[in-house]
Amino acid sequence: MSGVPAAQAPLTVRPVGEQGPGASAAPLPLLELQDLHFRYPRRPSQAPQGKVLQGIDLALEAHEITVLLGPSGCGKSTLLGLAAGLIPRQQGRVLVAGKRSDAPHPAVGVVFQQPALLPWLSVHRNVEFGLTLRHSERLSPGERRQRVQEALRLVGLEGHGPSHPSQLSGGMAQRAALARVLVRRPRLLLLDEPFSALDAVTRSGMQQLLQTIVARTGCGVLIVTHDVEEAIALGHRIVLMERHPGRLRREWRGVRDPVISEPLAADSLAADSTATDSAAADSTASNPELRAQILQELGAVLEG
Amino acid sequence: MTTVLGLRLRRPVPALLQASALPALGLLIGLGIWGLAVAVLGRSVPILLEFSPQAGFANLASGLASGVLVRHAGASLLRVGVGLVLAVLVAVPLGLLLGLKRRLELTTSAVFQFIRMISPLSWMPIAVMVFGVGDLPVFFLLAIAAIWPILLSITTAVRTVDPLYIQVARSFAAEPLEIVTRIVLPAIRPSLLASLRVAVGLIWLVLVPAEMLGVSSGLGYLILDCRDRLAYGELTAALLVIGLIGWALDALLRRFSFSATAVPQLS
Repeated sequence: MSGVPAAQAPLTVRPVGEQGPGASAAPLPLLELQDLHFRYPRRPSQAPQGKVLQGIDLALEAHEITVLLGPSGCGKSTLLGLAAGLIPRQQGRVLVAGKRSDAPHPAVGVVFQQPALLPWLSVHRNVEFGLTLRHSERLSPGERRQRVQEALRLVGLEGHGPSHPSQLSGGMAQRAALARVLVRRPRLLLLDEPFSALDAVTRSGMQQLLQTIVARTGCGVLIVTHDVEEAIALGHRIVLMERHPGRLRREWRGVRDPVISEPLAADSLAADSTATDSAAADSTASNPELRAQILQELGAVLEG
Repeated sequence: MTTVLGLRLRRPVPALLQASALPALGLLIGLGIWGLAVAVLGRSVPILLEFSPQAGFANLASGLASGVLVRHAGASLLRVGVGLVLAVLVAVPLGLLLGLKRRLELTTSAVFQFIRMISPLSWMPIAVMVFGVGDLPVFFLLAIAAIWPILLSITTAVRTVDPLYIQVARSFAAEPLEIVTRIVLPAIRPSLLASLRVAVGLIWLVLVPAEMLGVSSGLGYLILDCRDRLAYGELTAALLVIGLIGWALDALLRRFSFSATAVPQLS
């Protein structure tokens, strides 16, 4: 296991936007949001001046789970949509690996709250979907099959390829949706409250699965949630948003050390990873001090 | 409890009985009513006796044996096929476009509703003027009858495609054409197949009067020809063939649309 156990990790709290020590030497972030502003056009204002987001600066790194926490209506999903290139940017910049990006990027995978598996395709074909589009990397049918099986194995759905989405439980469907994204070997996963529709036991299993996936593939993750417990259970870094307008209020870094492990395949994006994924399970320990801080800040957001 | 012909049965009706025996019983009853009606009405109008089931089936057998009915039915089915293909070629792309472009749909809805309400047969004079006599005006009439159910069904179906499916494809950086071919078209397939079934039914209804437009083959032509020759037994046989083929086409499309859209459910 790399780094210190999560519960003993030195916790850094600072206002959003402030650079940590040594930040200048760090490699390019996977995704960078720079001074993003957003307002819904021709809509009754949801905030003063109709602003949904104001001055968002956020950089996402590999191996790291960043949790975007905030109350309903603070613009979390809009922020994720902008980061994914699904909502047209109005002001500010979105950079993927240092390059400006205004459209969905092949290196970025999005998982939605609903699995949205295509009901006319088998699970195998659903997972394969993203590999069969015109811009997808050229793979032979055999390579595609192998990649799909690899992704299904990663999410624990090996053998369910021939099933149809209607034959899967909610948790299995969300795993398949995750596999559909992972099969493209994205460098960054954007998850919009992906576990909120699941029961508590399934949700907990999915959270562990996500940590294992990050550990094994080395991808970065931005996950949107309004659940403090989920934020603490998952995040290496937690960013709290306030609303009216939506702004990043505070962030907690070093909630736990990112856990990294051997790459899944020789050509995996996580070729420089080093540790084992058994550590992923250790990192779910709770942190009472952090919880108290977050709840206090969240209370202030709700009152404000 | 199951109800059959108004009788309440305490036991459920076995599947085989439901699938075959009861429809066959219904057909026999219908045949009986037909025979009875001809016999009763034939007392005052004797020529109606030539429309009896016996005359119809006798002429059906001889018409099939001679190949006349097969030739005319074949010509009619070919026209149905051409009319349907033309309607699909126009209605499917247009329906996709209208379903995806709300403004275009709003702009065209009044015009299309207006044209849709004009009976396909009302176009006969214009069709003959534009296309002359022969197969072309028939194809036009059949196509214009079939376009509307397909167009309206597709437009509505496209608007009801789960936007999340499209969002998923967009998140994979799918191109607009890929979203149409890989998401929208498969998603609307059940509606498309159902509309094809309605369209074939309409085409089949319009076919007989349409084949009275200067063609020399087809079941519609045969009916006119039989009328002119006062061959009412043959006319009855032609009616039987029209009903049989219409029923078979509908059964075929129903079966096809069911098997194409059936999705296994969680057991």
